[in-house]
Amino acid sequence: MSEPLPWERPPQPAPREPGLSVDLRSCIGCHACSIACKTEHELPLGEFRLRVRWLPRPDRPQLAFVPLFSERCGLGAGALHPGGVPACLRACPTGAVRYGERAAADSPLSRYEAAAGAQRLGGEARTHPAVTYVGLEPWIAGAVGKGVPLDPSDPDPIYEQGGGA
Amino acid sequence: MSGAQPEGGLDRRDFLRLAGGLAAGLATGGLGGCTSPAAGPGGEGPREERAPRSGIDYARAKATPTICFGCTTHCGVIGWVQDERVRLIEGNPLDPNTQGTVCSKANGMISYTYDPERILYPLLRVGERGEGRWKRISWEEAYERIAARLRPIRQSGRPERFVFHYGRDKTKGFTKRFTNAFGTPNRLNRRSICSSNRRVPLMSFYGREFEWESQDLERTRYVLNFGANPMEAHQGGLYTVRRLIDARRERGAKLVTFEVRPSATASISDEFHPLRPASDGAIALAMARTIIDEGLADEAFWERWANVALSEVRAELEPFTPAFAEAESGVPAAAITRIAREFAAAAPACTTLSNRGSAKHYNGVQADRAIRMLDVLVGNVGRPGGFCLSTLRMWKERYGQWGLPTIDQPAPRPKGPRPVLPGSRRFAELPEEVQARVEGFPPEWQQKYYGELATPSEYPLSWHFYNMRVGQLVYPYIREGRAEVEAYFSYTLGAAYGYPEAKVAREVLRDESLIPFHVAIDIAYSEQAALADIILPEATSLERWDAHSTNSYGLRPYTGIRQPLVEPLGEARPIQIILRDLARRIGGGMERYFDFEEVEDYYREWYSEVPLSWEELKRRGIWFDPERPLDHELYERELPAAELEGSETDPETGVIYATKGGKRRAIGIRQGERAVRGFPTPSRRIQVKDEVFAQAAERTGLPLDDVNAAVLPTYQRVPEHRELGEDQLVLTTFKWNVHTQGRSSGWRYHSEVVHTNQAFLNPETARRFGLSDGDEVELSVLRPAQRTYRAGEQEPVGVFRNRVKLLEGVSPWVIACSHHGGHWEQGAVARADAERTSPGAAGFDEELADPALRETLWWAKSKGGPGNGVSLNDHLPINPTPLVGGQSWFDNVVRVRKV
Repeated sequence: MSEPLPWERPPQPAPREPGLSVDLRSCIGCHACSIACKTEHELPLGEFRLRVRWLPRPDRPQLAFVPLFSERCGLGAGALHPGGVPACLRACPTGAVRYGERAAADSPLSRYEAAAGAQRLGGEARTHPAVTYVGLEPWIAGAVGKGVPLDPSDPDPIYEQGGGA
Repeated sequence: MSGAQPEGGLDRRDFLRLAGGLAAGLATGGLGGCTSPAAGPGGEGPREERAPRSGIDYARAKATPTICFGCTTHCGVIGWVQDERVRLIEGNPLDPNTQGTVCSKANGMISYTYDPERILYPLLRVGERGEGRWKRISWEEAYERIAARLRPIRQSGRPERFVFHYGRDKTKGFTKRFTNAFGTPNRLNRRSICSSNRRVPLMSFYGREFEWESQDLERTRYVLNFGANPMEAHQGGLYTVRRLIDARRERGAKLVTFEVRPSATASISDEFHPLRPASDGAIALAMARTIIDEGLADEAFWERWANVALSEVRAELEPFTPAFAEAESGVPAAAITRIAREFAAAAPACTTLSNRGSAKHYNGVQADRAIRMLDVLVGNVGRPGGFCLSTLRMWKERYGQWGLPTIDQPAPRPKGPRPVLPGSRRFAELPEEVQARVEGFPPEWQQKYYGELATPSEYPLSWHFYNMRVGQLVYPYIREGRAEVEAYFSYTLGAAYGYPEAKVAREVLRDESLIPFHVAIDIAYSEQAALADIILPEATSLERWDAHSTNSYGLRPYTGIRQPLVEPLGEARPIQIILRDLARRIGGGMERYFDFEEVEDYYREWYSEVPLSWEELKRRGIWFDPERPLDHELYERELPAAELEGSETDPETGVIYATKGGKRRAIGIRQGERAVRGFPTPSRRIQVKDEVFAQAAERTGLPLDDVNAAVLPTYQRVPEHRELGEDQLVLTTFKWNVHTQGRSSGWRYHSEVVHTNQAFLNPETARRFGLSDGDEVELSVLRPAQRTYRAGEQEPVGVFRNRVKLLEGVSPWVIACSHHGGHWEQGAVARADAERTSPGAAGFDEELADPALRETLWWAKSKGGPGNGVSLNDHLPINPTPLVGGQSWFDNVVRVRKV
């Protein structure tokens, strides 16, 4: 046997104080992250820790995509992961998700966030406090403003027909 | 949207990149590093309470590579198995095509493998066909019953009366081994439903070996996209996602998209131009005209490689001005001109991209030819960053595969069936009209004619290049008596739900005088299986072997294997075992092509020439030669002396011919002093001009002024779109990114994201019809105007209702509705109804039932949810494009009425 293949290496612990940042400019709304999350945790239907919303842009006829993390998301804390990163990051086909230690201001994640101008999603969207966004446009907080759609009956602006329940 | 993004202070290399690198592995791959070993396994302290426990313990779980089957792209993946259950699917970083990426559909394999309503036992129909009453039987009984029907068909010398029709066969020829050994040519597929309008232009231009292209997106600076949606549902989609994103992010490449609705791809594009459906060709031709007139064409490349003079093309382009294209498409002439200039300026690091949006129309074959011509004009073909053609399929010394190991099915390989030649007994039984048509074909076409199901004579270009069939005509043809069927297999086929005018498929499948015996082989119960006499439960992609090879966007040929991660559940069996056992029972010599006990042994032999031990191939899942030069400019590669020996050159054309085994074939072309490969076309050049279209039109009675008969790329508006009535729109269907054809609706986490299919309308259009968000409309779908199945009939194909959603960016001529909705069979998830069980495993084995599903299926109507949407395939006309037969899915004219 040659050297271990990526998936043969021992799993790595998550950071002490994990943080996660999503670059919205690279998100394509594919749901790979949210479905990997549900699959890994075997979550029942109706329970989400991460959900991707499709939002009509106010300025031009295109859509924007925003992954929203619930406060119930553990950000992989206390677990061993391949590469030390959670399933949502590993699933992202565009590399839009970053993850790491946020305990210190000079951690790679903190430095990245500072350099890229990462912001928290404010307003009524009660996203996980340790998640930040790069490329967050001002209108987005208002558009997802009913809070993180963890309630399945919450109508998705694009996908859901007739507003659910 | 902005292209390049600021890098910040951090090295942007991410997890996947690192994991995919040879030196760096996962242990160092975590972004931001995993700097805190103190957190330790399980963690300590207050965070532990907040942290959800993972379903997987990665210290205990084992990952094994395999090939995904979530859609038709077939990506290298790894699956984490713990306690003999597959827990999660991720990307295989060794796969040069995916670069380690994965999409949401990969985890659909877990959904379908552990679906409580999966079919796990052979089932025999009791009661009337289609009544839905089933009895569990043994494999032995199932085999005996089937062999008893098939054996006499073969013995009687009428093997063609056995029809094997598949929807998703990725066995790379294993099922063909069975049908060839049986002797039937009727191994039918769904290419016309999917991609034949897309493949014919490519094969016409570049040769039979290229069913699909591999744009060099890793080096491109400009991508001109006509109706492809790689961010959601492209063939080869995932291979292009990361490369397109990186091209924009790292090199500031520009992505321009012409599309009828704001798809994910349109939404991330730098420019998105909503256009009138089926006007792509007009835009491409106007761009071609601009490029020529402004001196932007690469004339040296054109001269060297195109098979027609630029002046001849220019003369044909005279009517296709940017102003004309604007009038046809709604896209401003100034934008068309500007984009043409930008595209040419980026050459050769620029490329076109297209798919169903341009191709699935009456004029779609010509539209794609027009688009393909743009690449030739700017000379980007095969160049770094351009429109490249990578070698594909299993390797056995085809074009571009020089120096690669042979990867092919083990011997002995059965010979295929014989063509139905004029003068033969079978030929004499054909309808007179068909006989007359086939007699008028050139002899080399007659050699490819196998009867009306496999090679419909009205659609010669569906089999001239490659056997693509015209799947949507199979059921009408059987009903009309154009072919007699004694036994019919549906293999992973969802025609009864997903084919256009699917109700026709169901009528025929229900009629025992037309289909006396119907066996469905599948993993799940479906609308199709519901009309079978026997259902055989197949092992899923996580439980079985397959060979894999396709074109690589990494531009280095590669191969991979699908291998079982777990044992098949219940009594499910892999397709190889099912067909082996049937062949043995049918006998008569068939059995000698299935001489293996373990399926693994068969694949070990298949891959015996790969320079990697079998164990190592299984461990890595993928093989390719990282030292091999990239597939750039294959056509300029010189012919080696050994191949030139004994060859002859046509002095007029420069084409070099070799005679091997009595067959003379073109192997290259003289370009000045050099003898090079050229393209694998008859002229060894790029066939921008192709007489085959006119030839096929003449022989089938299609008027030569029809758009489909043109020898040079051209454009005409779709006949039924010429004058849309005030109350009419064009109904476009599409796929969501979490779904794939008709097969994903049962995947619980995916259908949880999208389970309905409201109809999207531009707000302007909605105003015209007095519609607001959520209003109900009635849509009457009209028949096509001319020269296709039941064209011109006045009665609508179907009438259905749906709710509308207003959305900016939908083309003003369009009403857009995804085609995934409204299943009435499959499992509870697809039906959004947990109150009724299907005859899957749970119906027979209570341990497999999932009582929680009934409680948690929140979108079910019984839970006050929106339900599972509308099935609309029944209402869309069977509408094969003349000559080629690709379904014109997006031409549907509908009358819209507010309810």
